[in-house]
Amino acid sequence: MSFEESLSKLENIVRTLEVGDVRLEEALRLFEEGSELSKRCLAELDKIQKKLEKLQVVNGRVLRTPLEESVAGCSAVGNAPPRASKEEE
Amino acid sequence: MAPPERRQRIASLFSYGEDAKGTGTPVSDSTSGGEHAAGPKIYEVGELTDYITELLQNDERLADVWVKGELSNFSHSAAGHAYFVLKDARAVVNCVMFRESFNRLKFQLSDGLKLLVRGQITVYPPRGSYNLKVLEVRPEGMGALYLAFEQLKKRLEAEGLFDQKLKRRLPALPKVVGVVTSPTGAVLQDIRNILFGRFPNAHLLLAPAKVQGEGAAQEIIAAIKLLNSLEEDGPEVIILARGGGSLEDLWAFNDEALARAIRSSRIPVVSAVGHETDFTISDFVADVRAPTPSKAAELVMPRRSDMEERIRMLGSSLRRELVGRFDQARLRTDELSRGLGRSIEQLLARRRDMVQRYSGLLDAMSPMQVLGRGYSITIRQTTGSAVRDPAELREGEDIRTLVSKGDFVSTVKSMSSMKEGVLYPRKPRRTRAQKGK
Repeated sequence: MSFEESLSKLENIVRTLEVGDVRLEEALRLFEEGSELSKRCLAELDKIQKKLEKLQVVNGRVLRTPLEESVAGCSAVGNAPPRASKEEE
Repeated sequence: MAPPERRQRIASLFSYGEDAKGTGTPVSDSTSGGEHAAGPKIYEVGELTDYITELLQNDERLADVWVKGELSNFSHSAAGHAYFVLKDARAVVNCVMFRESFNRLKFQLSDGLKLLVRGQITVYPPRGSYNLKVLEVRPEGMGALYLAFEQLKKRLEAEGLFDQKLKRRLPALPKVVGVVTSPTGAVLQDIRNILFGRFPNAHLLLAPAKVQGEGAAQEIIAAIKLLNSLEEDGPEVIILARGGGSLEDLWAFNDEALARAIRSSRIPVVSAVGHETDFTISDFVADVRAPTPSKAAELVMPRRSDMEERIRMLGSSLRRELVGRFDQARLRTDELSRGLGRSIEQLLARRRDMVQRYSGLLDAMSPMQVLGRGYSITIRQTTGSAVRDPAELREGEDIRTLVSKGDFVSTVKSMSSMKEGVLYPRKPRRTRAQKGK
């Protein structure tokens, strides 16, 4: 289940409980499910991994390179001019 | 004015010779004999036409002329040439626009357009007509690009490409955010800053593309397709971005093929081209239009703290509702059990058990805020009820203590009671019970 589905399911459960005409057993079941969902949603926030990448197609293969490096490196791609030192080598 | 010798030829063509005046009628057959040699010069149709052609096509003014008028009777031949007439209230002129010129046009010709046309007058002998061979066309009163934009917008709109029903919702939390823009511009920096400012562990995936000039539209299309083709760790949303500029600068985003690529993207697309006041076809066809690239990043990525808060709020509503529901049930169960006989009470036993089992837990749950400040709640393992008075406990009994981040079980060693703010050691109940025996 995606983060989105978990979140909207959790919202639905809270809404159902707020309306109030749920049997006790059902309320309990919803509560347990909801608690589980809220835990999962919070965990999802940490699942995303901080990354800055750039796609490049080299000889028909798709490569992912860290953005920082290619910016700092200058010579790798794009419109940036190659470094003088590399030219001389 | 025509050169002198041409004037002479015109004169000889359209007036009868001196000698012919007396005969009354012109002689049409120049080959019929010497006695008619003095009659008017007779031309063949082809000759006449050649002469007219020469006359018109040698005129400097007609060789490169600007004409304004309304376009009408537009047609397009299989060979790729375009035919139409340009008219005003008094006259019409036939126009032909050959494929090479026609293909360079940015906008589409259609009847009723007010045009400014540059061309050359030519003669078409088989029809005996003259035409304006059109080399350049401008819409009158507005730029060609602007008209092209309006036309494409109208056409795609009629096709339903901008339909609200086709717009997809953006994901609540995109694991990967795809960005199509120039790798070197300030736009990428803006998006980065906002994205990571809102969600420190965001994942940005750039598909670089030229966003201006020749081939830019094709690069942008390729970038969108590339992002769509990723099988692992592909983006869940794409930001298509470019900084502000003139209509010419933003022109790549008014490309029909790009519009179709955006519409057929599997991944929702946010278009953020130029400033707030700039509109492009990409903006209309995308799932969401953002006024600026920075705004696009805000629309796409939730603030992490907001999201956490929202989930926590839902969690506490959940507890609050359940506590309420149980209070209700507890009251009702008590009422019923009080009012009814034992047999019915047995029927209620299961329910009451459950109520009891959870009531301690619920009591513990509702004051979560308090636990957060370092308080704790102790529950008897045997009954599940919260301990308010050590008198309820027995020495050696297992008790469960709930604190903000979890719970732990411990064994009762000794107890004291609070009286007027002073603690008095308490004799364990077990001892008292033994004494009683």
